[in-house]
Amino acid sequence: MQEKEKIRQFIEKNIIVSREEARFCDNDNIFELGIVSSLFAMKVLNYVQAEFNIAVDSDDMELENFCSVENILQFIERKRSIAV
Amino acid sequence: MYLTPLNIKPNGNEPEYFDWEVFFTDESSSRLVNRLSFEESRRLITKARAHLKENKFKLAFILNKMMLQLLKGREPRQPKILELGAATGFLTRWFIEQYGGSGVLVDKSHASHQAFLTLKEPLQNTTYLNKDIFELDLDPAFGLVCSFGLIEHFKDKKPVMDIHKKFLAPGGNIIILVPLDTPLTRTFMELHPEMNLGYRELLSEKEFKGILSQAELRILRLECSFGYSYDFIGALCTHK
Repeated sequence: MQEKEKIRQFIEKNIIVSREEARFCDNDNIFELGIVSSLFAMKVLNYVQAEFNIAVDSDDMELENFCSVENILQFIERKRSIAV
Repeated sequence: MYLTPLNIKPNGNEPEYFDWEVFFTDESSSRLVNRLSFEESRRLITKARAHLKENKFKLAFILNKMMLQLLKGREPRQPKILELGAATGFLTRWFIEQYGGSGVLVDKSHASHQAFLTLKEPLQNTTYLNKDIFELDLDPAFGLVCSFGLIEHFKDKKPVMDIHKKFLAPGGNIIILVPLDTPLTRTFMELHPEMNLGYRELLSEKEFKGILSQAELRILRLECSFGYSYDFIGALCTHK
């Protein structure tokens, strides 16, 4: 499965609104849409570390890094490029 | 990018010269405020309130950041958590999400308890005690005792600090977070009087450290938040 698809599935698993309200695109800000709870902001930290095997530190804790499928993917790619 | 609006010019005209002497004076500031119409004042306050408002997502990320900084190299494993004045248990959620474990949340407010019960994602492995923190009958078995925005509501800090220590297991840690007395926090509180639900002190870093020290706590790490609508400070401590 593509990484983008994995991220999307993770978000979908954490959606707190009805299916009708939960439609989102890869660039949509999921926090502004209000489709996830604040617990998601805590879960996503563990998720990206475990699923993509990257170390997330305190400086990475910016809302912008995790607010959309696209931004999470870019964040993961950025972290990988630094690690290389 | 956010563009700030143009300055309001005195008498609607461009100043012929810029007077730096006046620029920083209270007189200059009050002259500007006096010129604002009722509608302009209302618009200004509405806008300022919108800029400085609570945002649970932003708070969660800033809290992520602070907790990672506080606990770096001291990450607990499966902690047994006691959260005092817990409201909906924001800190306990964070700990359980990151490190597993279990929690006891205590808050005497029925509204907080109801809010907890109606959370869209219920918190696992937790017990909620809808009680006064001074009426608890628990074993001193908690590896982590924490509070966020509690001690500043008490004029006499000793009893509330004693409760933090009372149920701490030997070798356990205490984490306390409070709003920090900064111009930003004062502005936030002034703009959001609805947040002032009772007696509240804004503590400076020095005052906060003094309270921890008076309670015979050893500060292991101290961190200040950055970037939220108000500033807060957190300390990781042990009992001396």
